[in-house]
Amino acid sequence: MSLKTIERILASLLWKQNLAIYSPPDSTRELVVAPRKTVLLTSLAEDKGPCAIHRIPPELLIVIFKDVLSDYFRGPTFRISSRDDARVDPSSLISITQVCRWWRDVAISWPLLWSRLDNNAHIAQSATFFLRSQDSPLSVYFTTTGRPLKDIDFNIGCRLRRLDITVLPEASDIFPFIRSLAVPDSLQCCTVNYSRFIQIPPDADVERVSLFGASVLPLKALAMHNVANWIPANSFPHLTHLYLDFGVGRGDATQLVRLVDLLRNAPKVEYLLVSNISWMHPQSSPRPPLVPLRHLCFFLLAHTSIEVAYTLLSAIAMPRHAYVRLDGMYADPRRPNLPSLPVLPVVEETNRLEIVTEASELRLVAEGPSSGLWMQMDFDLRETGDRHRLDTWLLSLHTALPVRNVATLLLSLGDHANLVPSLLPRFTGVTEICLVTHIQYERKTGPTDASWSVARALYSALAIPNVCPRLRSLCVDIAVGVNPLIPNIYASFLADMMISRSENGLSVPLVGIQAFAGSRWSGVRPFDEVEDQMTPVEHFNEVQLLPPGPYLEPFLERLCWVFDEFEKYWEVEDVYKPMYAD
Amino acid sequence: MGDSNRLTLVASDGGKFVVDKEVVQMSVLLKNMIEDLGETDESIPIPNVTSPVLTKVIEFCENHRTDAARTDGPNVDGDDARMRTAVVSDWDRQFFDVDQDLMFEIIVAANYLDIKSLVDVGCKVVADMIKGKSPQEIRDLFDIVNDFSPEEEAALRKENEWANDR
Repeated sequence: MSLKTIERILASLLWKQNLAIYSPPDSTRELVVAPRKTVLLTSLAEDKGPCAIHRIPPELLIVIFKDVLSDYFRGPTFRISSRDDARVDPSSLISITQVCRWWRDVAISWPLLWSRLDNNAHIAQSATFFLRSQDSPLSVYFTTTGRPLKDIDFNIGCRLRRLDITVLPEASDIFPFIRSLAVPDSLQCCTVNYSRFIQIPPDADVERVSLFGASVLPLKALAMHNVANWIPANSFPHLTHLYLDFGVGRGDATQLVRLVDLLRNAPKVEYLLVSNISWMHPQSSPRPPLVPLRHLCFFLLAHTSIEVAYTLLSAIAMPRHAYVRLDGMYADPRRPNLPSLPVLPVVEETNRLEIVTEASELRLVAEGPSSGLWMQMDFDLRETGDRHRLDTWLLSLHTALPVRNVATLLLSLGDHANLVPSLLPRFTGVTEICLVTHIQYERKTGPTDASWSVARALYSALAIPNVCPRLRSLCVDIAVGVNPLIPNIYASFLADMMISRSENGLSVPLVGIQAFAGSRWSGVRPFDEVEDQMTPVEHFNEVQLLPPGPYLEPFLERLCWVFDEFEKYWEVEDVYKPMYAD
Repeated sequence: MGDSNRLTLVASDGGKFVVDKEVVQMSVLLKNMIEDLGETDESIPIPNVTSPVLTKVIEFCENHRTDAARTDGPNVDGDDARMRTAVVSDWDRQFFDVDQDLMFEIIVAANYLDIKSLVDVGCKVVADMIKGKSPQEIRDLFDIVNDFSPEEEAALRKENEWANDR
């Protein structure tokens, strides 16, 4: 009998052993045959038939399998709303193993493919996956309607790396499970997700619960969703990723206090996401002692009242070189004024500032070389009260931001021309200003030139001696929306500004005016009419009229707000990603 | 004395290709070889790669010569077991719009020459061809022979049972 024949027979036997899905788990057998399997795979690769794909070596076939299974391996979100979302669908993996022997052997020889266990899966599937996963770290997806964990606990022991618990609405009290489950030190990542918000009784406090009955947990990552009525009481000395979405519903004033307690127990947190902290009246919010988070890289606080956000921010001692994003903030409508922005270390080195006021929101982005604050707040700027509150708030920015150090200033102020004369003189160090005017909103309620007039206000302000003395570049994008309106570019005001600054020795070397910014149409006639408006500035070589086309893109996506590490354990949904203006 | 910025590659069938060193250095294998050789006019033989395949490999490298170094490859072996996949551009898809023999020879050559971006893109293109297909459709696509015995087929059907029993 030739060696080839022996290997064939062995391969067949091996294949049958791997297929023994109803056999009791026996990791010893798998480990014994594993080294031999490598030899067999190599041998089989040399004689796999004529098709082209079989000429590639197993290591490349595995790369292809990884790509085929990219959805399967994608990090799950921690906000799961149904059983279907929670389950681990292995169908694409199973398909791969059923194409031919060669593919099957290659797939089965790769333990990490089989490292996800699901307590809703067929018992035979769990057993097979456990066996094939050999010694690799395991992820267990546990849903309260599935089998008890002990039924799939094939001596998981020190291999358990990740545990995702989804509590479905029909589940009974989850506390006994969460308190009693003993987890090994190998557990790095844990997700606790309630698929439906659990309403907290009006008179109840947020309870502190020790996860898994341990006072200290070795987790590196913890996420909780829709958990409004309890919060972990454990100490997390190694935790680097902490994501808490309390869910949309009424919580309790103690929620913030308990959250601060949790942060105090997680001193090494680098990536922090907190969402939907319950609204509370400021008078009732206790002021917690300062929590040092020296390792913080990025903090996303979302969908929370501005008062609560400020209270939380004021409770954290964060490093200077970090990024903080406040997204979906809202204000107590009963208060006549917005609370002033607290002074945060992350804005100390601000040299670039974006201020965008649209019809329904404010976006403020303050960036330094390695730090930043992003703030997005919802408003209804058609309401006089909201407009007044926003204007007042913006004019007090200098108390929290080092506006004198800002070199690049990007503005899209809607029709808030009134802000410009007071705002601009504070930016004494600015070298570059870009203004975008946009009439999409203003056309509905006011004169069509309400936003264009911001440019006029800007030129007038810059014509005043010593306003923005270091200005070297001015760019104005004048957008008209989808209709070919002829914008007013206020060239005479621009000419007055140029003359005034020249007389004061403060000429601006580069001025770009782009009419029809963002327009997809390239009407020649409207552009000619704008060119005609340029007569007052035609003798200024510094001034250039740019043709219709895309925006000069002052509000392009900024890479500094993209953190790959933020999605290391969970895929972050779009609702938590930065939104940019058009 | 030849151009020090260019060198000659010799395919397994004797075909000669004069290419920029910058382009060639997308191959880790060739980059190391050039560093070892120093300044030389000698041709570099590529014994495992035929002329048609080497032509395509050079075409890819020339098109991607300005790409930033790609450091993110598929990775499920890390702590997080998450996938990172290559970005496949329209140009890349057109590049791989060739017969399957050539396509897999390019991937194998890229693996031999250690050109990670070409391996990643090639594998991604193949993976996209496989995604969503049944085992039989995959066999038909790549002309793969179903070599399972009847007993093995019966056992596979049981796997399908538990995969669908959810």
